Amino acid sequence: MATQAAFDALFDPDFLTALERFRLHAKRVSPAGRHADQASRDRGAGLEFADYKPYVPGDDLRAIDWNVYRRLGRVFVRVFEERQDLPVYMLVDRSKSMFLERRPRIDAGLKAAFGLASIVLAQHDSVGLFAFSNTLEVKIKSTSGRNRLMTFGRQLACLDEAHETCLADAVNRLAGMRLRRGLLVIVSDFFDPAGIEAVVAAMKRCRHRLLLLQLSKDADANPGMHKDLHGDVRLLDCESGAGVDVTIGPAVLARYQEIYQAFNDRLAGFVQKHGAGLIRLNADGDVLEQLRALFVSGRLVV
Amino acid sequence: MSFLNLGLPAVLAGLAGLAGILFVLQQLRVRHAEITVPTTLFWAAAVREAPVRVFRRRFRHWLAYLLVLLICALLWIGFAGPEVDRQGGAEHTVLFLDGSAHTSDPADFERARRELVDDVAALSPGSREVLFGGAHTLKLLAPGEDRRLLEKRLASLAPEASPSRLDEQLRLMTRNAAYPETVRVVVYGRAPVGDRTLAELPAGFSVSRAVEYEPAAVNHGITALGVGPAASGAWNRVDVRIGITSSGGASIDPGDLRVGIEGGDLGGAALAATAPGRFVLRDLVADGATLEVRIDKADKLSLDNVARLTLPERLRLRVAVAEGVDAAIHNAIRADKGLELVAEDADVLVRQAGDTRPVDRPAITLRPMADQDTAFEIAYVGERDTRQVLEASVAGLGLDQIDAMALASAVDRPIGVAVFEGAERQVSIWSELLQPNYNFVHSRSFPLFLSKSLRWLAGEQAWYAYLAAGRTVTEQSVRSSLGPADDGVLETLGADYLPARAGIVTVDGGADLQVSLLSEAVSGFSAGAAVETSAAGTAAGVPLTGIVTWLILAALLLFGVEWYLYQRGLMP
Repeated sequence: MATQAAFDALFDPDFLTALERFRLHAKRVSPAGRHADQASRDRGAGLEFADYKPYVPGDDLRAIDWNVYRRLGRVFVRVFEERQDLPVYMLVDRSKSMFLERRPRIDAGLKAAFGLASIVLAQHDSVGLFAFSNTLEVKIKSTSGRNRLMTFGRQLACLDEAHETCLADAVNRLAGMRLRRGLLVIVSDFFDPAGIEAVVAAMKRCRHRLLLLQLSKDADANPGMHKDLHGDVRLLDCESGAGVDVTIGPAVLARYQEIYQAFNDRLAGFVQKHGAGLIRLNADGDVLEQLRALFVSGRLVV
Repeated sequence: MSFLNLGLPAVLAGLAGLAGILFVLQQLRVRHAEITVPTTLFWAAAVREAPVRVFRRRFRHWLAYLLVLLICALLWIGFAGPEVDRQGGAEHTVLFLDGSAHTSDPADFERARRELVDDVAALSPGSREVLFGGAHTLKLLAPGEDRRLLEKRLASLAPEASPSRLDEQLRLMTRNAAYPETVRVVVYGRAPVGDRTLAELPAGFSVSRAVEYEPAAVNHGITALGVGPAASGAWNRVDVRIGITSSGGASIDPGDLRVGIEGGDLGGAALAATAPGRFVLRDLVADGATLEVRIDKADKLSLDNVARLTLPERLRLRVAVAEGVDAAIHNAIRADKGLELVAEDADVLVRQAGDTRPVDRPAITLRPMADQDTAFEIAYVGERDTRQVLEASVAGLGLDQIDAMALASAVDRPIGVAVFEGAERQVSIWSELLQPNYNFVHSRSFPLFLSKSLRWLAGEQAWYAYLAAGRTVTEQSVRSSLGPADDGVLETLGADYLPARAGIVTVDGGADLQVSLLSEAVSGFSAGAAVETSAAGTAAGVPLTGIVTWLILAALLLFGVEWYLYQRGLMP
């Protein structure tokens, strides 16, 4: 019942309708994919003219450009760009930190993942679903077709609270799987106890393109907004249970904000350097509005 | 500005104490509210550079401390009860409630009490005090004390059978430097103010009476009750004289008096009138019994209608005189009917210095001048002040009646008295003084000296002509002057003893003596000097109830501010 309720909350027809006009474009997909709409390096049957090449026996005679032959006296055939699908792998964080607080981050994360999946499946790309906390679980390795959205959604709704965040380990494990190169969408708060450097190192090793969907809250950057975070407090990590005694004052708050900013800067620096994408999603805000702001002119190029 | 419930030093000390306590609490306070957060990753890093506050580290949060201190200070000052003295604190009002026999009529006392309570409510607490003048003066309300305490303290008080202490209290106040220059004493009751006291009041001191009482009503009072040797000459009997004072034109007859000894009625026949209001009881046996005289007639005051007296106890003293003692001693003893010469089982001995028989009781020793430096040597028992004993012995043993100059001339040596502490009472005199060629044995002082010395040596009980409340005790023997000072309340302490109220006092040896009121001023409704009549109720200041309310409201407002700041995380 709980899963059904979660799915019902996730499945919002208006939300999906609003996403129908969005397109996710890859600059180039890796070869050996299915025929689809994404540009690929493969040359073959297609609609988009790519180049000419000298005719060799075996080439499709329908591709010979007779106008060139008349002018030059030599036989060339037209080469077309083959359009293939983009494999998208959703790596969703189901650690305890995603389920904490009054409006848990997982709600926005699942909705965003579901929305992206609907966009991906609508444009004939394939999507996979991987969940992680301290282990990596393969929920859907790869699926395609608009009609698979409900299946994907049900799998998302089944994700419940697990254990600690081990994002770096999960990325390493996923990178080690023999998956076709595609787009890895990481839906997480990126609060890995191993530290942001370990996460960045793992992402560097990953051969997929990356789209980071960072789930945050306003109180992350400004903990003074939290009504209880002042004075002498013992902060308990929701995942490890470890406590940190803090006397919160202006100096500590300022230092916290510096550290949190450095964390975000490190993530943004990685994204910028390695051509990845980064979406900072406010878990307390409207997911649709935030996605709409990302899809400029209805397109998001990754 | 002063404070209703506390003095300024107490208020300041309280504030300092609060500041200190809050400072210590601020230092000690480490309140770790547990909060679960998504990650402690960033906090742990932040704390590494700004460690958590721990015990006795650098003081922080000054503003929070000052806010809490301000709240506590407001509440403390509100508790202290600030008030404004409208007269600038220059005048001090002393409200004196008379608790003496003057105001012992229940209606008079109740009226004075009621007026006092009303007036206290209208006075500034910081500049008034309330005294109760009974047998002793009690301070019922100190300056600054809450007037609500007064009713409770008054509840247990009633007029006492004692003369007024107002004059004495006024004299003490004028000598007390703690009082300001302007003091207004308001008397509640009939206590008279002496003319001399009033005349000697310094500038700035004024006395007024709060209640104007009606002139004295009909009253009779026993104002004299004294005992003396019987006119009949019987050594073991005494005469008692009684004095009655009447006011309001009334008079008293012997039939209105009831006289009894130890509860038994002596009968009116024993009473003889010597003058109007003067009576005598003759030849009462001096056996230490209690005599009670009572006026059996309704009048204004009841406390002065009864008086009691402890009769002296006179026993025949057994004296043994050793052989060889001068005949003058024998003659003097025989002449005194209170003394009896015996051969054995004597109370006191008279002996020569060379007598080899052991001395096991008090004795008069006759010693040659060559063996004794001083003419009279007195050994007393117990630790006493030697100078005091010496002064008492000169009068007590009748030595002041001796013609010392003549004796000194005759013996060609100074006549002196020496006192010292000994295991047994002893009197030692030069034996040569008893020889006929000196006039000592022929003088009137010799039998007196001998009689008094023997009675003191025998430890005869002291007796008093009268014992009146508020009047100096005059003893009739040397007993208490030279006796042991273990527990005697009538022992001389270098000052006169004044029994405070009518009742019973205990002398050393455990004997109880009756003290009576015997006051002409009380029974005669003496009005004393004329003083102005004015109530003390003109308000000199008022407690600032409104300010206290504002102080508490301000404190509550600051509580709200603190709560808001706390909720916003702006203070720890």
